[in-house]
Amino acid sequence: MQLGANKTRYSIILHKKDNVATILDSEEENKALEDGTLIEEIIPIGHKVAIRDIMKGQPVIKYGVKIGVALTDIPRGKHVHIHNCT
Amino acid sequence: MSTYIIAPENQTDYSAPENLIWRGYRRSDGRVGCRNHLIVLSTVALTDRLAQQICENNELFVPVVGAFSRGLQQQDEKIIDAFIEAVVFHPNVGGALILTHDRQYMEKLKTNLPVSNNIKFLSFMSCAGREQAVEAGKLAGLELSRQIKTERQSISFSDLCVALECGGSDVSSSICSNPMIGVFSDRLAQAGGSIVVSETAEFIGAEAIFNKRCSDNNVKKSILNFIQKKEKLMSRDAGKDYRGTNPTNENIEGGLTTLIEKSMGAVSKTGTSKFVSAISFGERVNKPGLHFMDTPFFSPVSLTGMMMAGCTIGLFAMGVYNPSGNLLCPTIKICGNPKTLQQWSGEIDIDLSLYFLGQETQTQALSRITKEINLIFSGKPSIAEKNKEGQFMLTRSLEAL
Repeated sequence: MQLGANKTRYSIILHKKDNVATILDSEEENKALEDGTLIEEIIPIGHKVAIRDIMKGQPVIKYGVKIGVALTDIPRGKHVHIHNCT
Repeated sequence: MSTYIIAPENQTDYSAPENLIWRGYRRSDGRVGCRNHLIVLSTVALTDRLAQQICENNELFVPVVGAFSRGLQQQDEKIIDAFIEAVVFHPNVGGALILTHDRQYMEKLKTNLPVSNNIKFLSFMSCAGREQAVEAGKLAGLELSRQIKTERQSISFSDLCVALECGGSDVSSSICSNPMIGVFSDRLAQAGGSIVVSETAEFIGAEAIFNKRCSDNNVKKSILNFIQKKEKLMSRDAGKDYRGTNPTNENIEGGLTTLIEKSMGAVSKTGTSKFVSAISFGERVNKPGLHFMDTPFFSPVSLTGMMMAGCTIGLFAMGVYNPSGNLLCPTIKICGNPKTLQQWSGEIDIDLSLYFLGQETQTQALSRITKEINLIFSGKPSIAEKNKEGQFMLTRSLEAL
């Protein structure tokens, strides 16, 4: 949980059912989450990252509720936003 | 990152609110207040100045003024009547001096309001001039203040009736203050306490949550009906479809992908409990659990409605600063945005920035929130109270005569 510690990004998962975490720092050079998820792209603060593989058509879950559906397969570590979720 | 704010797996891992000592004022109707205010209630705009003059230089009196109009029709008139009864018999109120413009309205109130020794009336036009009116008001207030002296007694956590509110929303409030309030709210609902949430427009887009979160089908239907009506109004006003224009480009840039995700930022303060009723503006809460109140989005109006329902304390999540509060329902400001906390240093009751920045655990943050709510309930003035910040504002549906 330490800010900037060991090259992981600070993020929060709001509910145990969630398959995305919200990034809360701007350390874009860091390439992993604390749970070992490797981040493969630049994800800005406030944006979401998949913490599990989400198949095309599956719900994207945040706050424990379905906030959208995956438009493509979204592997763990990928940015989740309007390009792949609706 | 291994912790979950909503429905945390280990519910006992922070200072359990049930184990804290809660002390309040138990009223004859069984409800419990956290303040014993003596209010000077101005029932119409014509007595607002008089109320202020009576309260001048007197810390004992709380002025309740709202520039209330005359000539109101039907439900608008009923709301004023309901407001007067709600504040006079509010659990945070020990006694009331009620100011009317004329004798006729005073007599009407005397007939309509339940009888109580802790109420006094003053009709402005029955006084021999302003100076005499102010003196008579001060004297009546002092008599009441001696009469209403009472001690706090032990109450239980479940006696709390909490209003949930948010304003100045941003990433920090949607991820941090609102979900944290949700945890507290769940805890209170489980214990048998009462919670009211309002601002119908905030729920547009989040309708799906009500499928699983209503105690019965009627509650669900009423809530969805409130939301649908509000959405129609908003779309008509903007001249465009609310759903089609939200989330806005700015929201999307900030990371919000869908409307329900945006709505959940605010809705998450309701936690995961079931809604047990759908009530209209200002309607009194008459059973434990989480209640949905249909109100406009302006926070002073929603806070007034929830105070009328009987809420004795308010939890207000902020991203960007918002000053609103309610003088009869101590409003606790909770914020995680480091910039806001710096700019408005000393103006926010609970600072969650350490948690937001990852420098404090969820458990630590929840413990601090719970302790501060307990302290403020027990008498420590909230910052809005120190600032004497708060408005009394009602809804209005019809043209005045």
